[in-house]
Amino acid sequence: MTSPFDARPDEAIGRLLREHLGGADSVAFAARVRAAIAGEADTAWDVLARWARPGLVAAAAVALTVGLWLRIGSGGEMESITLADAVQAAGVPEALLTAPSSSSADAVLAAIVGDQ
Amino acid sequence: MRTTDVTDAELAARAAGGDGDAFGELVVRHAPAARRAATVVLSSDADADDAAQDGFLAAWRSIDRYDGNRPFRPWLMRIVVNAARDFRRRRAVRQTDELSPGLASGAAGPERSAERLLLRERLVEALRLLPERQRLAVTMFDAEGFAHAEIAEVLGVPEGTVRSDVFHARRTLRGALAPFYEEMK
Repeated sequence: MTSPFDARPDEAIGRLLREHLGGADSVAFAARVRAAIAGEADTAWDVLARWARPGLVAAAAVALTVGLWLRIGSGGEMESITLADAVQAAGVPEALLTAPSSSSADAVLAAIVGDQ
Repeated sequence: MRTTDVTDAELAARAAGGDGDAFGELVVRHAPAARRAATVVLSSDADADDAAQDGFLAAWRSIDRYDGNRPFRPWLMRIVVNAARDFRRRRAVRQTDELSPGLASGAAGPERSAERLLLRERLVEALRLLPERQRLAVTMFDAEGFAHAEIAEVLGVPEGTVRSDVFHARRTLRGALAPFYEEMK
């Protein structure tokens, strides 16, 4: 009889366990696992598909909103504000605006000193 | 190249790249050992097959984390054993219900001899006497040819514990099967 301390497999016990444990039809079992894997892959794609449609709709809605906001925020006001309005809003002295195009440095200096 | 010429690591690498056929070949190769491991943890062949399938699916999901430089079988068996234990927890199967006499009953046709049926019953009874870890250790060592170190990796215990488990399990099995043991050799 083989020693229980033997470091080699016990062939008799091993054969007995192989014969009596586990199901019989390995091919059917493997087919079942492969079908489950294929089904899981389909499920993953289904999940992606379910998320894709509302995701695309949401992205389109966001893009549309941002586009409208940019159009309203920039285009409309730019058309209604003139250059003179913008310069006045910036606090540029009137003397500089009314001075002839060949205004001297005196006009600029007078405007600055007068502003202070 | 025939698939039998391809190593487990090569098949696993292909499977990690999404090749379902490569993983299918791994299933074919290792299904018998996986089902036996699940069977010694659970109470019936049907439950064992469900658990083994859970284990293979878990392995498929995490195949990209398998280190191709290490043996594939212990990595897979660890997943399968954990799946079987999870299955048992979910089912809340009591310890005393494990390894029922119906174990591997698919082969109990009328053509089987009475002695063979008796042998199976004795085996089931003897296995029932063993703690789960000893059952797994002796099955993986004697039936599947795992090394002690590989079993230690699967069960998460020191190698010396595995040697001790195999020793005690064999002693119990040989005692219970003594009338048949000499014939079996």
